[in-house]
Amino acid sequence: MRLSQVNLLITGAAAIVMFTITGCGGAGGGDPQNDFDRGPLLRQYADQSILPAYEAWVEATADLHLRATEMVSNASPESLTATRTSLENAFATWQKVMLYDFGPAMDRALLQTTNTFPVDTGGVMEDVYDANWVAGTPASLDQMGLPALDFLLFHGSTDQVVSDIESNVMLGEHVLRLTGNLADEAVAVQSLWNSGFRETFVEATGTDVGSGIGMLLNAFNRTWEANVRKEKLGFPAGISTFSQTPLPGHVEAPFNGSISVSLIKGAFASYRDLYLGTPVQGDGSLGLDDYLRSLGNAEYGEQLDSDIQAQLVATEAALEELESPLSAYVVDNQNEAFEVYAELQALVVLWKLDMMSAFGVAVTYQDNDGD
Amino acid sequence: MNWSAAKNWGFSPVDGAPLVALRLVFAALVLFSTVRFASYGWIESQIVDPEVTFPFWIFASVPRPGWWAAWSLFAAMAAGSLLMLGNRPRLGAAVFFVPFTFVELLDKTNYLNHYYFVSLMALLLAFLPSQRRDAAGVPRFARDLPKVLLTLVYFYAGIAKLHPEWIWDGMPLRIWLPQHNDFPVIGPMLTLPETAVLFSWGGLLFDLTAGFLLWSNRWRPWVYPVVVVFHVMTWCLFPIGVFPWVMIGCTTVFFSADFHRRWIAVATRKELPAFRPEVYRWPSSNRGFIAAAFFLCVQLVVPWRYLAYPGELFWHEAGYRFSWRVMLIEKAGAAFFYARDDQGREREVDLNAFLTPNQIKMMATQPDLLIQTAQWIERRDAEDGLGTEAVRAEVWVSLNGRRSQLFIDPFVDLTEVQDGPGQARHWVLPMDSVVTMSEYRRMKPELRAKAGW
Repeated sequence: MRLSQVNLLITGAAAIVMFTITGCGGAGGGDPQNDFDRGPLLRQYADQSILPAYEAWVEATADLHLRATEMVSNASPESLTATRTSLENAFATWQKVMLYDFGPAMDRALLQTTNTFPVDTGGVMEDVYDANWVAGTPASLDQMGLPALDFLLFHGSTDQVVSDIESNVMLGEHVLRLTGNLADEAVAVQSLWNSGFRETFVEATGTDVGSGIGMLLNAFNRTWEANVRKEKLGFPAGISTFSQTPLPGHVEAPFNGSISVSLIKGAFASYRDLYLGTPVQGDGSLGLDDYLRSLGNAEYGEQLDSDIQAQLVATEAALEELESPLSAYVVDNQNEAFEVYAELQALVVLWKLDMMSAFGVAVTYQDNDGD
Repeated sequence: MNWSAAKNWGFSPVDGAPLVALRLVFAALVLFSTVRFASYGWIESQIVDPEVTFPFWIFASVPRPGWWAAWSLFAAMAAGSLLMLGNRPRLGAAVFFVPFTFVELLDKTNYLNHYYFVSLMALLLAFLPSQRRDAAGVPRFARDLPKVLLTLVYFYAGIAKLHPEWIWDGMPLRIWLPQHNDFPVIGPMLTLPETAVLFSWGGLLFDLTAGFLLWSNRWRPWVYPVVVVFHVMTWCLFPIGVFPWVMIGCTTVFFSADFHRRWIAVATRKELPAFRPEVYRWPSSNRGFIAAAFFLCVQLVVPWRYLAYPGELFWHEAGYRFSWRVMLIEKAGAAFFYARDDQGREREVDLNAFLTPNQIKMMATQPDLLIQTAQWIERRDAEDGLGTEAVRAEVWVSLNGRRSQLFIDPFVDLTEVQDGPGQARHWVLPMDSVVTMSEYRRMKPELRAKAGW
C-alpha cells in the first residue's frame, strides 16, 4: 500500500468520523413516522403531569404555612382543625409529587426533606427548643417535613394540642419553621423547573440515564419500589424484621392515624396515571402504555402492556382490602398485608425489569460492554 | 514446519516502527481513559465508596484500597502511561498493567471486555520491544503478536455471535436500535426489525473477517475505514466508553512501517532510527518465543471453557467472561433476597443499604454475583448479631427480548452453594423452564414446603 493511499484513507475515515459524530451528537427533534416519538410524551408529562403536580404542591404547602401562621397567632380548635385539614391535603398532594424524584427535586433532596418517616419524635422536640435549628441536615431528615408536622399537630386531642401551642411559644414557632421550609423548598424546586429544567427534560429525547425518559423512569421505579412498596406498606407490615413483628408506628402519618391507607392508594393512583397517561385533559393522551404498544414486538409490546394493566387492576383491588387505620390492620391482618405487598411487588418486576428492558432505558451512567 | 524453522521465521528481523507506534497510541489512549475514569468521579463511586465489592475469587481476601490507595493506583496507571509515552515502554507498561489489572479484578460488577483487552495489551507491551531504537529491527513474532491478539479478539467476538438469536432474531440489536429513533435521518430506519437483522449480519461478518483482512495489504485500505465506521457507530449507539477508540487506535498496528515512521517523525519531530536488518542482533532465546506461544494458546483456549458447562451460556453465564462476548445479550434482572434466622423466621433484605445501583443491576443477572450477595448478607448479619442462617433469593431475569422469568431455584440456600471454576450451576433454572411470576405465586407454598424452608 502506498503512503499517499493510506493518508487518503485516513483522511476519508476521519471525515466519516466527523460526519458521524456530528450526526449522532445532537439528538434532535426529528419526526420518525412509523414509531413512537418520545418528544411529545415528554412534553405531555412535563406540562400536564409534572408541572401541575408541582403547582399543586406549591399551593398546598403555601396554604399549610398560611393556616399554621393563623393558628400560631390565634390558637383555637378551629384554627388547629383548619391547619390539620391543610396538612392532610399536603400529604395527599405529596403523593402526586414524590415520583418525580429527579432533576431539581433530587438536587434539593425534596423526597428526603419532605417525607422521611418514621419520625424521630425526640429529635423533633429537641428541635423545638433549638434556636439555631437548620433545616435539612442529613442527620435530621427524620425530624422535619410532613412527618414532623403530623407529630406536632396530631400528638394529642384538639384541645390538648391547642393548649400546648398556647402555652409553648417555641412549639408554634417550630411548626412555622417546618411549614415555611416545606413551602420554600416547593417553590425552589418549581422555579428550577420553570427556569430551564423543563426544557432540559423535554429536549433530552434519548434513552440514556440523563435523558428525560431515563430520569423519569429511573425515579419512577426507584420510588415505587422503595418509597411506596417498602416504606408505606412493607416496613409497617414487618417484612424486614426477623421476628416479623408488625411495626404499626412505621405507617405514614401515624399520629393522624386515619389517612395512611388513602395515602397508599393516592400514591398508587399517581404511578398508574403516569403509566397510562390518564390525568391529561382531552383526547390523544400519551402514556407508557402507548409507548410499549408502539414497539411492534408482541411479547414486549401489547402483551406486556396487557399484563401490566391486569396487574394494575389486581393491585388496585388488593389495596381496597386494606382497612383504616393501617397501623391496626398490619397487626391484626399481617398475612393479608403481605398479600397486598406481593401485588405491589409484582409491579416492581413488570415495571423495573420488563418495561425498562423493552424501552432499553439505561439504569446507570457506567460504561457498558463494548464491541 | 519444525521448531527451529519456526524459530528462524519468528526471529527474522522486521521493521519495529509499528510496535513503537502501537505503544504510543496505546499509551495515549489509556492515559485518556485513566483521566476520564477519575474525572467522572468513578474512583470514588466504583472503588472507594461501595460498601462491599464482588472480587474475583483469587482476590477474595485481598484488602480493599481506601481513598489514598485507590488514587495512588490510578496515579500509578497515569505514571505508567506517561513512561510509555516517554520511551520507557516496558517499565511503563508494567507500571500500568499491575494497578490496572488489580483494580479490574477487584469487583466483577465493573468487568468489561475492553478492560480485559487493555490488560492483555499492556501485558504484551511490558515484554515487547517498542523503544524508539527498536525501530531498527525487531523479531517478526514480536511485531505480529499484537496483531494476532487483535485478530483473535475480532474473530472470537464473531464466533460468539454465531447464535440463532443474533442471526435470525436480530437480538439484542432489535431492542437496542429502536431506542435511537430520535437520530436525525436514520432514526426511523432503526426501528425496523429488518434493520436489526441487517446490522446483526453486518456485525457478524465484520467481526469474523476484519481481523484477517487487516493483514492483507490489498484489503487493508478497504477494511480499515470499515473498522473506523463500525466502531464509531457502536460509540454513537451504545454507552460503551472508550472501547471504540481503543480498537480504532490499536488496529493501526497493521499499517505499514513507512506509514508509522512518517507520522511519528511529524508527531515527535524526530525520525525513528532506520530499519537495519544487517546489524540486527536479537538473542533468539527460546524463552520469549515459548512465552508468546503459551500466551496465544491460553487466549485460544480460554473462550471455549464454557463448553464444560451444560445449559445455555447466555443464561447461566458459567464461562462467559474473558471470552470476547461483547454487546451480545440484553439481560436485565430484579432480585429480592430473603434471610432466614435460626428460628426459621424470614425477612426481606434491603439491598439498597449496601449495594450501589450499578452493583444491584449487575448482580441481578449474574449467578456468581447472586451468591456473593448472599454471602455478604450472611456476613453483615453476623456482624449485626442477627443470626442469619440461610439466604434465598427470588430473582427475575429477562434475556434478549424474552419476558421475565424465574432465574434460580427460589428455595436454595445461596450461602451453601458451591460455585467456581468447573462447577456447573444446577441451581440456576434451565432457560426453557419458563416460570412466570403468576405461576410462581401459585406454586410458592408448595415449593416452600418441598424445600423444607
